[in-house]
Amino acid sequence: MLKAFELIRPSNLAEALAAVASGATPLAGGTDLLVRMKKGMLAPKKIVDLSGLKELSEIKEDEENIILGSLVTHGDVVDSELTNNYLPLLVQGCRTVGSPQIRNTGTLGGNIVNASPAADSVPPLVALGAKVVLSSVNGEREMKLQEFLAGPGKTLKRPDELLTSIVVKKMKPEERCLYRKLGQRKSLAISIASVAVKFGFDPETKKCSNPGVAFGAVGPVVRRAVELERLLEQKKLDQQAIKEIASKAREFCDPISDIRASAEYRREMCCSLLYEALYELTC
Amino acid sequence: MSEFRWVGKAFPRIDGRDKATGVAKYVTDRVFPNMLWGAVLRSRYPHALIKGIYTSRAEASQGVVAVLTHKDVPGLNAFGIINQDQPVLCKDKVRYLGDSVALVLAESKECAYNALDLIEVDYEPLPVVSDMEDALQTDVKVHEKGNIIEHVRITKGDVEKGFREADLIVEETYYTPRQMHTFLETEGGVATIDEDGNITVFAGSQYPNRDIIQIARSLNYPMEKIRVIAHYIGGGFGGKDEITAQILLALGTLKTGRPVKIVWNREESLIAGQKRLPMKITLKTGVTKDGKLLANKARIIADNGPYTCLGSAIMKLAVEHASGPYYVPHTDLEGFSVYTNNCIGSAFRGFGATQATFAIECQLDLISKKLGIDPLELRLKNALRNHQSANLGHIPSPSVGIAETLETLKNHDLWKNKGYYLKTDRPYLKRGIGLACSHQGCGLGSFFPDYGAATIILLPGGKFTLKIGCPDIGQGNGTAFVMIASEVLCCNPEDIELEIGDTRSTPDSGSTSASRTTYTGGRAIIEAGNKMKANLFAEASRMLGVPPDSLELRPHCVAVKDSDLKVTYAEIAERLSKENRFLECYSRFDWPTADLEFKEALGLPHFIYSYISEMALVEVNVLTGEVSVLKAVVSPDAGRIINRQGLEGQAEGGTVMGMGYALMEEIRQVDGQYMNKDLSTYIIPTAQDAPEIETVPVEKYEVSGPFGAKGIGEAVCNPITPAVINAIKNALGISITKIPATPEDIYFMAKKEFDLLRS
Amino acid sequence: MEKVTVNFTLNGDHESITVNPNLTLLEVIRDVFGLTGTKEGCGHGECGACTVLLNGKAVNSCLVLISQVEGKEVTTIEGLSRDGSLDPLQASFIETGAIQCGYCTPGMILSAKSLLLKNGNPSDEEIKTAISGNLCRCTGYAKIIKAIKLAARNGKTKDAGGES
Repeated sequence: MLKAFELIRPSNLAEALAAVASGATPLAGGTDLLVRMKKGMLAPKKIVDLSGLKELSEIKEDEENIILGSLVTHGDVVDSELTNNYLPLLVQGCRTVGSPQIRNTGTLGGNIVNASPAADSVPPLVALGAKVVLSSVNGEREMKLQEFLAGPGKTLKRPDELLTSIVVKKMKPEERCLYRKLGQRKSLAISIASVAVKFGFDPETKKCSNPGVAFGAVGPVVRRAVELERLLEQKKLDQQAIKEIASKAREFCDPISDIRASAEYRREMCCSLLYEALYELTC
Repeated sequence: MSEFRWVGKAFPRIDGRDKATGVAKYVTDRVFPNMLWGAVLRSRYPHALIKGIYTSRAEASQGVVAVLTHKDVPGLNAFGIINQDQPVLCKDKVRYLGDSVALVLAESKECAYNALDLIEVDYEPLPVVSDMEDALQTDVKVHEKGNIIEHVRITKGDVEKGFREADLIVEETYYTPRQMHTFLETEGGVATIDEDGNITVFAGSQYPNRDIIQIARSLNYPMEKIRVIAHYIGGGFGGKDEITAQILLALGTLKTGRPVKIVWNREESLIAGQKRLPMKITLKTGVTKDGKLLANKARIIADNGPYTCLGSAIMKLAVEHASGPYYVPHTDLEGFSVYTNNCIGSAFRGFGATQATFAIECQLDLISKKLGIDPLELRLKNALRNHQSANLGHIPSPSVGIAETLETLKNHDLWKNKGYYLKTDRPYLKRGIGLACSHQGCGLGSFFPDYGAATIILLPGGKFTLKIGCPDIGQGNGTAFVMIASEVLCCNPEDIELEIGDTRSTPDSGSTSASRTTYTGGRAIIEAGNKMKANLFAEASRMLGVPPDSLELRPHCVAVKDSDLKVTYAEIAERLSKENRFLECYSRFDWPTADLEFKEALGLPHFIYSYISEMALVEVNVLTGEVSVLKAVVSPDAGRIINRQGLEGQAEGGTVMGMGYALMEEIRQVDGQYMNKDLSTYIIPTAQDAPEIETVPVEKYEVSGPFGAKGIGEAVCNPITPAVINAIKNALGISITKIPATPEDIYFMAKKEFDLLRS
Repeated sequence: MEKVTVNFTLNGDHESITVNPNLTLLEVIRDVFGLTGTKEGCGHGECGACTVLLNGKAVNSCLVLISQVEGKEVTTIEGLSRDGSLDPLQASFIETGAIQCGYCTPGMILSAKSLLLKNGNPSDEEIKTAISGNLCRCTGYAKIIKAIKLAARNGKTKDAGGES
């Protein structure tokens, strides 16, 4: 049961931003907000239901980028031709979110703003260097997703702002990618640890280019593992090299222990998942 | 051609259409005009004295009609099938976080739950008993009489002699977790009361007739004014065998005069509901060098939680099954069931045999490894045969099919061509095959009255009504009953109208538990059906003017043998109606019992057992410890199969449930607190986790059974757990003695063997 | 609490309701419309018993606020067999033994429906994925997967028949 609240139903973005400015909690897909409300962790007095805002539900492209409205669902990402062509890493991440039902309702914007370190769309977006667009009655600003994420459940979003879109550079057709998630079971799972990896790869020379690596659920925020990316670029990615690089992954995480896994296991899993991803992408 | 028209066929469930269209009303779907919602205040502490309960603020809260406490319980403020040690509403002490302290009755669910926060309870916290070994030692008593609920020890032969003669003695301790039934429909229902004070309770229940006794005792109310209807039910698996919400429902409607609905939410179900008992099982097993089992000594402790429920009986079943379905000449089997301040332990599919199976089947693989004997051959060598004495020294009914189930696995491609199945195309993936056997006593065992009863009525038009008590909690006994009745009465299943699980209209046929309903109900139906048949012959004989012994049943009619002369059931019914008569046949049937009884362990032993062997192919990712169960082959011996589809459904469902038990399911408690409280932290297998399952049954005819059938509802979840664990051990060469074996556990164990990143 | 008016289609019928905004779609379906085929198993989106179709896609109705269905089409299990004839999925679930206690069945069938609406010829893996948000504790899923395959086959036969 949900506790009582006042509901605002805007018919356009301007009205929605006004509602947010007045202190209303935005409701996107609801798969996270409603659970927290049912569990008594949150009791908003005012809710603004964004579901009518078609302008935030679109996937568009320009020359260089894919632009995803914040209300685009994980299911939309999985089904869209644009994302399948240009952002296969994000498609892989979104495919592992919860269940089909959750994917059909839960939104990319919601997944990002909740700032859970275990959010499955986030490591791919971070590895791809995505930017977020924040809007308020006073205007719009853009920042790197990685900077936007400030801690578990914390972002740099100001209370009067709404995350309205996510801008991601198109991946090149020759780029390889893998999102590897470790959960307690094969679906309806929250990540114990995950890794998103992408790079261009020349099978002849075994050299990689333009790498992106980000881990999920193993630290307070999802971050790019820049030093690992540098190592990937430097080395010829043979069996020995991928083992060496993967072994270093434990240094790039700061995990916690919880009901799902111990910190030590999570630390080890950074190495394991990265090794498996590199093995699959290069062997 | 089969000798049967229906028995043994794959027959779709009779309630399939109602369930597939959403028409079926489950007990928690029911609503009545003017209905109140009930919400239960649970304990704040796992162990505490209650110094005062103050309800006035809650009573004044919006929409609240009444707040009931222990003072409002008119009769015995305690219930329990074995010991009445669980309060309906706690008076001076709470013993776990699920204890019921007060019941709020309000105009809406929202009002009822909101008022819970307004009840003030003064507690004086007590030290918490959270460890089962500790419970045996500590001065802290969960109940005044001490922490041991029951202790049994049963010996056969001379176990020390067996150990002396043994070439190898293996000793190991095994740990099993607290598993949740996770039926999709949580505990609850609706109760109503009429102007004459007749109370009707619709509730998730596995034995409505026994609920009436427990409700009447606590309400100090005449049994004949209480009716319990247990239909439809969204799963039970043992978790609805003991009382859950029934007494509170009846109390609520009695006190307010209005219909009352209580449905536990998922968190309440997890915290307050009954669970599979965690056990610690130490086995010492002696064996000759060629693999003959000589002696088995078991010490079992079961963490029963704060109340007995069915726990002590479960511990005894673990004792009975602790040496597996094998012939072992010398045994010494001991069990303790102890109170703690953890979650309540009670019935769960397998009822103690599940835990015992995990231990003995891991033990057998250990012996197989140490002696270098093939694990299947080792089991086959020791498999119990007809007329041999079982674990407790008794001779089971001669339908012992364990060897045949093992032979089935032995002849299966997965076993014969292991090499093919064990190949993987990744260096970090390792495969293994494991197998295990199990058996399960059917029925309530010695001493306890165990009976079934059924009524068959001929209806106008020539159809029949079949009435039988034990509810269908989902497993399909209702469909099996209809098939059996159709077979006996030579009609189509559509011609049988089934009434089930309603204490007003259906005869007491015992509980839906203990792998007993198909056997018991089936026998009662056959006997009632035979009476009906004799009656139909008598009527037909009169109508046709021929002697009864010249008659036979043909579809929907009684006919003269070797002749076209016949009279249909419809014609008989019409004739009876004109004569102001009708045909109703009732029959009651009592279980056969074993040749042995233990005064110090009532209920032991059983006489009829189902047997089962199962093997699993697993793939382990040594980088992460993740396990995929790829394939399971299960060979159950349930005697003659009544419904092939139902049997497969049980085998498949039991396999996935037992797989969850092996790999992921556990309610974790620390100091009586719950570490997981929802279905995101208590996880069960999804469709993506479930293996491909093949069922290859063995039909070992049970001479006393309906058409030769035994029970199978429980055994199906026993062998898969050790089969999966043995397969993992086989894949990695590691030792696992504790379940669930999570990826994290397996990873760290496997790391010693396979450290791919450092090699 | 100020009530909200929500217009939507429920099993083909246009509905306009004015209710408290803190109701979920599940509560409206069960308590306002009395359609109890949609079940609550957990209330937190972790079991799928409450699955309905929203514009043809499977969602957990326990995690949809009623205002979110404005202008949308909701299909519950009762809406699959409205003219009295069963959906091929309902028929195949009954025939193959994919139902035991039946409490997960309505949600399971609707998840399968959501799959077959966009993919008439799913692989085993696609079927398992489609029902991976629906817990079943009775069947072990084997017969459910079989039923969905059968329905896909039967659905195709029927479509082909319709065209000829």
